[in-house]
Amino acid sequence: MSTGNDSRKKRTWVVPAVLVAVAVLLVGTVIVSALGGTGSTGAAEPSAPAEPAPTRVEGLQLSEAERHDPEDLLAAGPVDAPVTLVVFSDYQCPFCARWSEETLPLMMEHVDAGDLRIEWRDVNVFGPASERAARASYAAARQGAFWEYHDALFEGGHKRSEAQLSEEALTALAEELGLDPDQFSEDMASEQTAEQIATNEQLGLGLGAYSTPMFVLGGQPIVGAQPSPVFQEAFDQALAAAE
Amino acid sequence: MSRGPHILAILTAVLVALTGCAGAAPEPVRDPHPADGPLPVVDTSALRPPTPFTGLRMVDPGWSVAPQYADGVFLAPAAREDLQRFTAVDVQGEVRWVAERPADSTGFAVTADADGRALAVLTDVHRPAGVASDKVTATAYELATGDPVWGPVEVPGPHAGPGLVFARSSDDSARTSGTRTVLDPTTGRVLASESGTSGQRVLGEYHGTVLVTDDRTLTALNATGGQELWQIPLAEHGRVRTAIHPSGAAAAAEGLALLEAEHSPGLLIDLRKGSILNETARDAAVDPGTGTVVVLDEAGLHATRDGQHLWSLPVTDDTRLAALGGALVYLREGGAVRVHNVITGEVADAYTPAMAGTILVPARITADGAAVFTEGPRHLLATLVPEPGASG
Repeated sequence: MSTGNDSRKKRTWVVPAVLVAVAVLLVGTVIVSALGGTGSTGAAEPSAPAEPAPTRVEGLQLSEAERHDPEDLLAAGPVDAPVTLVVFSDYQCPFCARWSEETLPLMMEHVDAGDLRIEWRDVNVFGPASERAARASYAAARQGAFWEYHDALFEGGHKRSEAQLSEEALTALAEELGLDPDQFSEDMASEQTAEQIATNEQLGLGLGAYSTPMFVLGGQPIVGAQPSPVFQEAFDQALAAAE
Repeated sequence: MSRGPHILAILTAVLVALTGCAGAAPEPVRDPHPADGPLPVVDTSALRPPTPFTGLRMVDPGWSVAPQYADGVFLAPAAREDLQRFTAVDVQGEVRWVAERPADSTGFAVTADADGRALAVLTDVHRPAGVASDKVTATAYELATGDPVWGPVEVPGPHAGPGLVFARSSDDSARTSGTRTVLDPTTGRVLASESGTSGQRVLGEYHGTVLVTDDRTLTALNATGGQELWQIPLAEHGRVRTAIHPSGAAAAAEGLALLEAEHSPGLLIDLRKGSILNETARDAAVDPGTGTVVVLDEAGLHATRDGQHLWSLPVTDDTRLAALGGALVYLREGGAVRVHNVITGEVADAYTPAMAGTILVPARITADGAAVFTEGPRHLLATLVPEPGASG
């Protein structure tokens, strides 16, 4: 049973408690109002939190595409050549075929002179037939015939049709070039080849080479099968910069 | 002696004291009026904008939130001296008008009336004496001039969006199942409102098109008059949960609406055709120059123009669509920015390699080449005016 004293004791904390509660409520209201907070009447279009500025621009650190791996089977020229050209290509890309016919021989002259290293990367953006051709070219490379096989796939500056990139057709081409067809088939189907092709593809896509051909010459991008003089000029500048 | 009056006196004193501590808020000048002077020009020597925007005069309107845009004019508020100061700025960097509201009236929307005239709709909060809840009103002004168009009209609560959707806040004790109301942009009259009985839900207003939904049908209404434009059955997608704001804001993806449904977390709708463009979209934008639509979804980034697929490319989970304009799409991935040509998909060389400074990524690009950049808390506007001494 409550006594009068008990009742007074309760009242002694009731008043300050009410005051504190009201004060907290009011202070909170004032703070929200002062901050322009959303509260119950504020905006429903809050600004996104401030986002830090990017620290890098992707697509400009293209020299990362250069591998300089002496074991790279899809390369030509000295590992330590003063200039490196990385080619992102696809065996179903007609512009890649044209570039291989018109400009690659010019670039190979610089390879022969020891001034340029070419590193080939198949990005296979055109799909399974491209990826199959890439595996075939790698299998040819394992028999030391990458560039011959590559040239045959782009013979006359034209790409092959999808039917001409079937497994049978690709093996037949290897045989025409004097390669061991059994070894070729085994290498073409091997896990190691698949891994290498996937690695090259991801390298290209990771650098933004989503359309072909794309090139990195001396660390600078060249997009599309531009005329040979464009490549010659870029090579000259890169060589001069390296010397 | 009774303690009641004593307690009341103490409470009154506390109220007065606290109110006094907060200081009396200045009375806002609500009607649009000219600015006091030109906007401050930003020193860009330590900034690194994309090449298309170098050499342009950049101004800082002081906006505290991302601006909305239509017909050559940007609008956003800034918190100033216990007020919200809305500033309408054109692509030349000239202030068209300013208007003020109380500090907690930050709601606003840019939309268009039946004639295609761009409107700015600002909300206002009133606290009538003796009334428990606030009264919220909306007033429309011509965006380009600040001339009044309609209002103030009472709305059920703060601006909720997208577009002219207003709603009671969720903590409102009087909340019922139907709380969202959408206004006719041309008249300010209520066009549609949710009710507890019909099951109709208001999703958003997109520059003259209103989307409503029941459990199984998505319906588009003409915002002027409310005529039905089209319907999409939602049998495969379940109930639409909400309308999502793409990062590029509604007008950046004009003609598109992004919705979240039970079985399609990113339902991208073509508002003109009434068709579903994508069912897993995370974001989308339209290049005002080329008409190219770029969609970011679970499979990657895709571009289409006139309904024809242009290209697709894989992206990482943290890739975001920052802005689209000038035939370039700007992507952010963690601490990096990457730019692609929207026609070819090729990586574009959009930043001058030799340039130093804070890398700026556009948040909004207009058809004529002005842009908004967010730099820390600032929302800077790259105008169409060349910097002094710049060529061109």
